[in-house]
Amino acid sequence: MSTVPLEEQMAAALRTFVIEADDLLTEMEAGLLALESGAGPDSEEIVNALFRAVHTVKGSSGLFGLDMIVGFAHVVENVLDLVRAGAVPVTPALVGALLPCRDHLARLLGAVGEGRTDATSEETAAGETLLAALRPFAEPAEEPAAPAGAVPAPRTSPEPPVSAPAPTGGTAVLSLRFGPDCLRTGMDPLSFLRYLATLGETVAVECLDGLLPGADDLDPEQCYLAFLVALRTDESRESLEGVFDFVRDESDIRVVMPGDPASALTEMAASHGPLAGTVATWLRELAGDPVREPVGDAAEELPGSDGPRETGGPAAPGGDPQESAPGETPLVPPATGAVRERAAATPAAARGAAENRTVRVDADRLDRLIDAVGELVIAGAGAALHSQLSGDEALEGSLGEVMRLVEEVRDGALQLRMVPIGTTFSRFQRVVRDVSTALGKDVSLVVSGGDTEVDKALVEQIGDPLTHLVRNALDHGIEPAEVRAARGKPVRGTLRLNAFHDSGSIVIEVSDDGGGIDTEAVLAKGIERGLVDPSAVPSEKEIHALLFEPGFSTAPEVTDLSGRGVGMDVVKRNVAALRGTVDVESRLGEGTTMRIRLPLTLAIIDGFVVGVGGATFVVPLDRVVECVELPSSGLTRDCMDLRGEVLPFVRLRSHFTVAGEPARRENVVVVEYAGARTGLVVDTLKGEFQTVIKPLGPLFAHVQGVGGATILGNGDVALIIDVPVLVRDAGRQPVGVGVQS
Amino acid sequence: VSRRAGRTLRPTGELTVQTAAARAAVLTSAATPGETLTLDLSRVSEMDTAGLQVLLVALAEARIAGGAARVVSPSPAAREALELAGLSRLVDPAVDPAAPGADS
Repeated sequence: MSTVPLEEQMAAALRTFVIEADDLLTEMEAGLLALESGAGPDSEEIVNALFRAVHTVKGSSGLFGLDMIVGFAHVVENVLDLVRAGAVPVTPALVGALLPCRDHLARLLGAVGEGRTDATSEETAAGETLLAALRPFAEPAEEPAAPAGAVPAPRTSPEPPVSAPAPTGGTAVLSLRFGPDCLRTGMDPLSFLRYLATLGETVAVECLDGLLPGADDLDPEQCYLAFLVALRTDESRESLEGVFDFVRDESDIRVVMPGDPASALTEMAASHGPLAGTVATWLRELAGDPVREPVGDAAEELPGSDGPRETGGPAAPGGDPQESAPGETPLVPPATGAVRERAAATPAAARGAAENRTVRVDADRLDRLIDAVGELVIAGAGAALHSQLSGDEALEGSLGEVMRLVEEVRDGALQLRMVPIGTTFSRFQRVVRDVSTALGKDVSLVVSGGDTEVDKALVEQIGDPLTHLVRNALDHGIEPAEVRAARGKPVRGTLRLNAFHDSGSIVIEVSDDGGGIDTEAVLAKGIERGLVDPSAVPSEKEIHALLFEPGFSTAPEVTDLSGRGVGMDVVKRNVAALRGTVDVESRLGEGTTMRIRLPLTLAIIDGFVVGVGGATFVVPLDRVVECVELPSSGLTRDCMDLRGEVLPFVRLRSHFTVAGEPARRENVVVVEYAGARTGLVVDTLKGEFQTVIKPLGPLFAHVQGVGGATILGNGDVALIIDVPVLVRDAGRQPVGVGVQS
Repeated sequence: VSRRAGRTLRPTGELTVQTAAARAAVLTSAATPGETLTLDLSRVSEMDTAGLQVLLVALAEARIAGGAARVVSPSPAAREALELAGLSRLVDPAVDPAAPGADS
């Protein structure tokens, strides 16, 4: 019997928890920001979603024994519960207190992701400070936390009572049938029972072992036991059901609250199939016990109320609820109605994020798939080449069809990596809020083009540069309110994030309606910093390019946020590393637009294939400016004359130590990077080729100037030139890859 | 009920999904007709649902084999697991944990 170590199972479960909890906290942030900006009629739904998010995080944390999260989340949850009940109004102050709490939860969760389950003393102190800030909102807590049977807090919202998750103070009955594999996946039912016990007073627990086989048939790692729990609790149905969110899919969890119709208990018993009789007997006994709180009239409706208790018998006589289930008279609200109500009340904010029908796929698996598809494309191209040479038209025809399908598959596979950029954009609601608050500016963020899809790897890497641009726009772009007022502009500034596709690229714009770039000031600064010759008359574009020079900052005062002059050059470098560009469009007094242009995917490039001896290289086509023949004379060191300008060049043959003599006539591929042109000297030019980038193994990590490899149609391996590195290293010693010719 | 005191099994360490397979083989085949098998849980360091299942199967097998079985001296961990599952009644309270005949 193969046993996956428990540690591994737990680690896997914990990883999933961290990812899911992270999603919930992201939703929570979006929800809080939506509340702050005035969500109108949606606010009730959003509050419910906030409560559920915190509750689920708390519950799942409890299962993993993450006490540091449980304790903190519990207080936050209580406050949200009060808000939900209408006892505490939604105010900017409340949102302002809750947002840092969300961040604290995210930090704790991050620690868990790194394998730490205990809070540091700093974290504990920070948590206490945050909870202290939250305390004023928790004041009315005394009332609803009153003992069982208390009147629920008054609701100011005109919510129909049917969906009210009223505090019960009574005894809830839970039927827990876990999936057969729950033990293997590290979900021990006892952990759930242990956690349930913290939510109230356990009145009774029954272990249903009727499905347990004999020793010969026992799979010791399969779960056969089911449990019935009677819990006296003030928790709502949602809270109790939320405990099991983590195992809901593979389990049958039923919760019957006091006041639920009789049929709910009958259904619960029936759901146990062959053990229905045992369950019914237990429920009757529970209801009939005068010491315990009655489960309500419901239990009396159970069949054969006067029957004797059967312990362990799989089919108690008269206990078959199927033949005598009369309890269809709903008492207070029908349970099914309440369920439906909750389902319909899914908040609009959460719907987009969580309710999509999505499958979570390991990014590595996706990469392997795309890798394989890339090879398929290459192998297909090889086959097509052979078929052309063979002259067999029928073969060529059918191969053409195969290739069409292969390309369709490739496009589909690449599509899998595409995610809408809106998720990244929505993170900036928070950035804009925090930064503009810190600066004392009033700025609204307008997002458009959030549906624009972009490669997942790009999305992950564009976040930092984008954050820099946004902060910069808030700090330097948008003027203080009094200046805006003096200029006759709306006092409230506007920052726009926009994305769209444009001829194989994705364009991301960060625009502000601020003061625009003062080209005079920038030029003066550039001259002062020695970046520009005082006699030069640079174009506007060249002046704007100065902004991206290292160590350049025009802000008269250095602020904490972005005035240190580090940033814009980093932005440019990061974007360039993604094979993208940044440019600026600005009108003085009207605003500035920073435009990032990126390739749609990092996995495929349009390459320009060149040959050096027997070796083949691919130069990213977007770097190629032109191709010229290498002059046979007039070469001074590694420079040539290109229409009157000096062009430094790199001989790929010597740079990569390709064996063999240079061809009689050599060519120069002129590439451009960061405004500088460099020539790459090669033997032959072989033309354009769309190719899938395959990363090089760690063995080649030290090789400079190569960004990856690809396989050509004829099966040859070609190295992809990393132009920025090669250009930077131009003039240094050859690296010696030792390419054989 | 007059039965001869039979073997005592004293599983040591974890009684969990990790060890369940190995434990099941020993615990569920230890019963002898006419004897009372004693399962001494005093040395159980950890017990989960899988452990409970093995225990329940062991008890059932002992009865099927024409003998009996009892659970004695649960360690705090074992006692907590039994209590959570509502199975505290399985523990035989009137037992001297140092009963003779322990051979495991």
